[in-house]
Amino acid sequence: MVHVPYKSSGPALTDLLAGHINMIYGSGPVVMPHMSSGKLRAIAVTTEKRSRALPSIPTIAESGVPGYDSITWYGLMGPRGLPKPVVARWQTIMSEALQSREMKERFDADGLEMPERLFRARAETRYRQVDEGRQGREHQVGELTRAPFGARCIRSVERS
Amino acid sequence: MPKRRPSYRFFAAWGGAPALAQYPSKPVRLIVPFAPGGGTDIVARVMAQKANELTRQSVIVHNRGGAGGLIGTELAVRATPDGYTLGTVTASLPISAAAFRLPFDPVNDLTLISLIGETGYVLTLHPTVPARTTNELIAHAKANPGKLTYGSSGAAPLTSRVSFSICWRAQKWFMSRTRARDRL
Repeated sequence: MVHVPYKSSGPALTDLLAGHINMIYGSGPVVMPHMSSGKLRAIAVTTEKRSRALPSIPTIAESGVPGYDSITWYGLMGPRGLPKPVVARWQTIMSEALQSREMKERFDADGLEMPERLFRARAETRYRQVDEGRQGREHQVGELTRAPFGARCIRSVERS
Repeated sequence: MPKRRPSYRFFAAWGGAPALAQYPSKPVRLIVPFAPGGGTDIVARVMAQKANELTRQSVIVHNRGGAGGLIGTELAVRATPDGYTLGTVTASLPISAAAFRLPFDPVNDLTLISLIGETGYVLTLHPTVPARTTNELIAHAKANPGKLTYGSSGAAPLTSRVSFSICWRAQKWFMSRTRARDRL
């Protein structure tokens, strides 16, 4: 398999649609619009559970790598020292926007999920890496988490 | 239907400049640290559109790609904290912070306002590839070594690239240890 690096999903998607490359790992908003038209084919999702937008597509965990779970999240930020009223105003805007019907429809179509808690930086990026051991047994190498919003990485290392 | 307005008593108690009561009173710049077309860019533009409607001011997306998102993020971090320059932040930031030494502090130099959403990645093929499952894909790749091309994008260099190679190896392990009749 030949690895072709791109700087961003945009150019990678363009080449994939044109058939210059065969496959990518694309995030939901990038690839979902092209699924229903048949321009692209999904064969696996990287979340722990199947995506509501693609209920018939198995997860990577189901496809032979148990425990696999990899997501990405998006957030809004400002520089340090942003006045609290400005932050509050944006939080109000975000609440209203994310509860609006158009956003919910757009999120569902794109395979985006609303995080459980929008504010106060409680989200985590869970990235579990499953690797083969010397004896050929899979073990969980590490769990990369972000809590509350730092780069405090490998939280735990477990072996089976 | 009248829109709900934030309480102005809060602004008065803060004792800040009267301009904050009308925030935003001019266009807001939203810096997306990736090239157009990526996941962050799409989500940011959708949110900006909605914010335009809710604030009746322009929220304009500026793409500043490079260095895996660090250039644009640093731009947003160093901007004047007046609320007219904001940025997007994604999972790539803590991943970059773990791998590189950043020119700013990813914890203290920015103010996290709100999360927008989460999504997973989809292993996506062009329809000409003769595979509908990961098993078929791996079989096809083994039968045609060096022919398949895989494009990785900057937004998920660690997760996607590593995950696929691991998926591959794990799949080989899995297939070598299960009997053919037990597999789907």
